[in-house]
This record gives sequence, structure tokens and C-alpha cells, in this order.
Amino acid sequence: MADIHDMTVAQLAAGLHKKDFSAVEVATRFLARMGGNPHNAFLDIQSEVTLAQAQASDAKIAAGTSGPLEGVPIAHKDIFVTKDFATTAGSKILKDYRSPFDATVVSKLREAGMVTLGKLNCDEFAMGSANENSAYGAVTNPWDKTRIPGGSSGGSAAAVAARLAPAATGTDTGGSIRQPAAFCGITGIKPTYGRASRYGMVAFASSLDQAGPMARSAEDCALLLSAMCGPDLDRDSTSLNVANEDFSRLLAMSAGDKPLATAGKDGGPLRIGVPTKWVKPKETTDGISIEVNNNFWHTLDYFKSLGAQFLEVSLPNTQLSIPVYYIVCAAEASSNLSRFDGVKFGHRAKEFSDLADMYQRTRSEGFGDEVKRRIMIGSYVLSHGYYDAYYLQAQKIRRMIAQDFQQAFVQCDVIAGPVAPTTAWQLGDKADDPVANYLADIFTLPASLAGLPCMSIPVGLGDMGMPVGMQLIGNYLQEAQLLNVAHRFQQVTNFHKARPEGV
Amino acid sequence: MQRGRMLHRLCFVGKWLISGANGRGKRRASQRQDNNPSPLKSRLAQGPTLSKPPCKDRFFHMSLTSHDIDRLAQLSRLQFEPPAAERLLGQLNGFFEIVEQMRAVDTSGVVPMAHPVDAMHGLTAAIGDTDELGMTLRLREDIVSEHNQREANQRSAPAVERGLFLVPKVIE
Repeated sequence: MADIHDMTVAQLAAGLHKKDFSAVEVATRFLARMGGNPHNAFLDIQSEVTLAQAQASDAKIAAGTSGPLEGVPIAHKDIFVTKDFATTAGSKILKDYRSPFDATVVSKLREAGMVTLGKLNCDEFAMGSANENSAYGAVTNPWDKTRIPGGSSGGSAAAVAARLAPAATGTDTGGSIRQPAAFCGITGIKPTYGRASRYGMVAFASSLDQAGPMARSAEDCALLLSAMCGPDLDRDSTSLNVANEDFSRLLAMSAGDKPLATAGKDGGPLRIGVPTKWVKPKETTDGISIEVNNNFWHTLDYFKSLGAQFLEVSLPNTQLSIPVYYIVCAAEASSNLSRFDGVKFGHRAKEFSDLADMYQRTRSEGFGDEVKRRIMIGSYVLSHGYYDAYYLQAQKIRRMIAQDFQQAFVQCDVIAGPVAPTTAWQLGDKADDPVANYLADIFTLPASLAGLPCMSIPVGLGDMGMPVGMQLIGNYLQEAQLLNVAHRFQQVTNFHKARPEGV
Repeated sequence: MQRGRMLHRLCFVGKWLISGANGRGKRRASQRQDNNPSPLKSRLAQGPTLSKPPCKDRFFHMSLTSHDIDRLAQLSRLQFEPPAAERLLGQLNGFFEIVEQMRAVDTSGVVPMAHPVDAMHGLTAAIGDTDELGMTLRLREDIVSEHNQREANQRSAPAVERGLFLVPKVIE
């Protein structure tokens, strides 16, 4: 039997169900691994809470009333509010904040039987691509401690890669699940916008924010996604009124040697669209590193060997997704973050002359630089006389980007591309250059703007031994198909089983 | 009261930004093209009617100034020390350089997309109607759904007295 901390969610669920080990044993093992907070991945740990939940799970297992994931531990990105753990969103302005309720995603995973290990570090209000914008310090990459883990769900990715947790929640606004999953060599999926409730997710950009699971395989992500999603109509105005699905349902099907030869439309071969301009011919570089580019072509060969077909698709407005995204998200952030005024919750400045001064000092002390930048950009693009030309123009191009995808999906079933132009960079490399960070989001932003389901799977290591991810994008509500494609790939490859040295 | 003041400030800043831009607008008069605003666009244009440049073509080449940073900071309820303000100015101008490419995009006739649920419309019957601005509007029934949780809600408040949130004096 494998070590408990090496088991997947599926293995842990099965072992707990068969009583091979207890939920308390499992929780104790992970809590021990979390001791000393490796990689600065956790922001709050409450061992007693975790152990009490594990004991309750053991009681349910004994009574035969267990949920599908009873006793399996999970850690939550600190963007999800939790009753029993502090919630900071990686910001000083929410230091020591205790929510009076659990986010819907958190309570759904609890209902499925999962035990909470703690809260995970992230970029402040999920704004960042390197986890260097956390007010509580950067997270380090388990593959190389001198490198960033990606962001904003950097703590989630690092914890799963370092086997501090078998799974974690993440949120993805412009790539915050996919990019850290790629940089840490794990699997993560952002479902269709509206699948998972945003209730209790600290709001950054409400038209983009979406929760999703991060784990070590597509199989695990499917189990977790099934437990996380579902309509929450009274609490989230953009929650989709679509019945929840068993996202694992396609995975069990046996499909022979060439499982993707029948996985496409009408039982035909799966047609994978490759956006022209996203990748380059082999051995060249232009906006993408050679290691990522070569790896991409190499991975396509695996998919071909499984029976998939390839064709080129055009996403002509990809480049525009950077300004469009950063205008839309800044506008929404400036509005969402106006609630932090030092009155009802969070930090309040110690000294001030009047109410306006209290607001200004509170916010200036509480927010970090990147958050302030985005609020300023948002205030500008929403201000009188500039709204049409910036915000409205961005929203119009956003629709064009979404329409480009629908054109592409006429020809193909899923779209494949890189997740990021490079592998994880050195800590500090881009810390003072916000625009350089924004530009590195090029491949994840288009699907976010369109609200499409998309995932990242590990596809090998680059020149410096750092993981490379591949992005798969599906059409609306096609998560089960995406997960099936990824699962088939993981059945015949071992990239998702690679582990950092010393872990 | 506070809200009224905020609105006033917004208008004020709007005017200021526009008047600040006019000088540059004049210089660029020759580069301007007339474009017919769509009915939707003119409906949404809430700015003071400017006889001169249509604002879409005017603002794009404009760099922000340190004065802009001060005003935006005030709007955002933020403060920046001079060195931080200067750094921020450079960073924001760097950002607006990459925004420049949006200018050339012909979006006439494109309905703004407020959020993705709207783009899914038609793909699945379960998704509701959207209005002209691409917003899906769903309201829950106006019924009491939660019990009083004042104590829990005020647990993280910076200053509370007898169940009330304390703020500095606003009216003399």
C-alpha cells in the first residue's frame, strides 16, 4: 500500500470506505506534513478543528452514513470564507477576519464528507500570477524553492505538489487555477462560469471569478468538481440554473487502445483544435519559450496516438484579451473592493482626522501595491467620460473573443494550447514589473473572458526541470468531456505522477 | 449625504479630466475621425455633451499625469506618498500603452458582454433571458431567508457599541 500522503483522492476515499485506515489517521498524517508550514503554503491551520471533523467522518463511516468523499482531506484557498478558520484573502485588510458563514463551495465539500486541513496562501484578493502579492509572504515552488509557484492559487498548487494535501480548492479569474497547476505539475480545472457558486468567495472580478479543484489527476478533479458544483440560485445571481453532473461518468468507460478515436462528436474521433499563433513551429521561439513550445508538440503526438485528430483554429483576438481582461477585472475590482472601508469588518487605521481620512488611511494601509494599482485603473476606466472608450469597448471586444471560440468549436471538440509562455520564473524576477506579469497571462485570459471550462494537465518537465502544463479548453458545460480527455491521457502517461525531489 | 458627496465628486473629476484632455484634443484634431456613435452608445454616454471631440478618439493617446494620480487616488479613497505616486504613474502609463491596441478594433454593432452567462444564452435552454446590455437578471423572492446574526456579523468589526457600528462623527 502506498503512503497515505501519496494517495490520490480516489484512493483515499476507497481506503477510508473499506476502513483500511481511519479519517483521523489520514488527517494526522497531513497535519504532521504541514508542520513548520513548508513553502509558506498555509495561512491558517487549526488542528483541533481538522481532527474533530475527521472524528465525525469516522463516526459516519462506522454508521454507514458517509458521503462520497467522507474523511478525505482538502485545503481551501484563503479566498473562500470559512467559519472555523480565519479568512484573509491574502490581504492585511482582512487580517484575523472570521466569517460568520462558510462559502457554498466549502459547505458542499463538507457535505460530501471532506475534512478541512486549513487555509492556503494566495495573491492578495487573487490578484497576481506569482503569489508574490500575498501580504503574508510569497509561496515557494516545491520543485525549486527559488522559484514562484504561480498564482494566484499558489498555496493550493504548492500544497498539492508537496503532498501537504491531496487536493485543494482554487479560484480562477484569469488563469489562477491553470497557471499555478502548470507551474507545480498538478492538474486543475476551472469549470464553466456559473457552475460553482461564488457565494462566500471574496469577490475580485465578479464576471470572471470561478472556483475549481486542484489535485494530482483528472480523475480526482472530476470527483471534487462533482461535489463542488450545482445551482445556488438564491445566493449567487450568476449561478447557472443547470442540474449538477457526475463529472466522473465518462471516465469509467472502457474504450480500448484508441479511446479518443470515438470520443468526439457523434462517436467520431476527438477533434482537437490548436489555435494558430498560440504555438510556433518546433524549435522556434516568439512569445513562447522553446521548452514550452516543443513540449506542446510532443504532447500532441500522445493525443494522436490515442486516436485524436488535429486541426488549426483561429482565435484572432487573443492578443486583445490582455487589455480587455485587465480593464474589465480592474473595473470590477475597484467596485467590489469599495466595501473595505474600515467600518463593518477588517482593518481600521489607528489615527485619522475624519471619516474620509479614515477611509483613505484604512485602505492605504490595508491594501498592497497590486491591489491599489487595479483599483486606480478601475476608477479611471469607469470614470465619467472614459467609461465608453475603455470599459464599454473592452466589454464589446470581450464578446468578440467569446464569439471567436464559438466559431472554433464548430470545427473542433476541444482546444489545446499552452498554459503559460514559460515555466515558473525565479522569485522576484517580475515583482516590480506589473505589465510583464500581465503579458504572461496571454494564454489563460481568452477562456476566462469567454467563461469557458478549461484545465491544465502536467505534460513533462522543461529544461530547468520545472513542470510544463498543457491547457485544454472545452465548450460551455463540457467539463465531463474535458476531464475524460485528460483522464485518457493520464491513463497512458506518467507526467502527472512526477514528483518534486525530496517530496 | 455621503452618497451625494461622492456623486458630486465623480462629476467634478469627470469634468476635470475632460478639461484636462481638451488641450491635447486640440493638438490631435487632425488625427480625429468622425464616427457615428451607435444608438446604444449614445444612450450610454452620460458625459456632459462635448461639442468638440468624441471622447473615444480623444483619450487614447493621452498619458496620465501626476495630477491624474492625485484625483484618481481621491476617487479610490487611497493615498500615495510622492515616490509611490511617481512609480504608480509610470506603471499605469505602461499599462495604458498595451491598452492602445484596443483603439483600432471596430466594435460597431457589437453588444457589450457584461458576463459569460449571457454568451451561453441559446446554448442551453436552462439559461434565462438577457437584456440589451447582456445582463442576465435574476432576483430571488423577497422573503426572509436568514435569522438575525448580528453578533456573528459584528465579530470582526473594528468598533462596535451596543450592536451599532461606530464611525467618526460626520455631522457637526
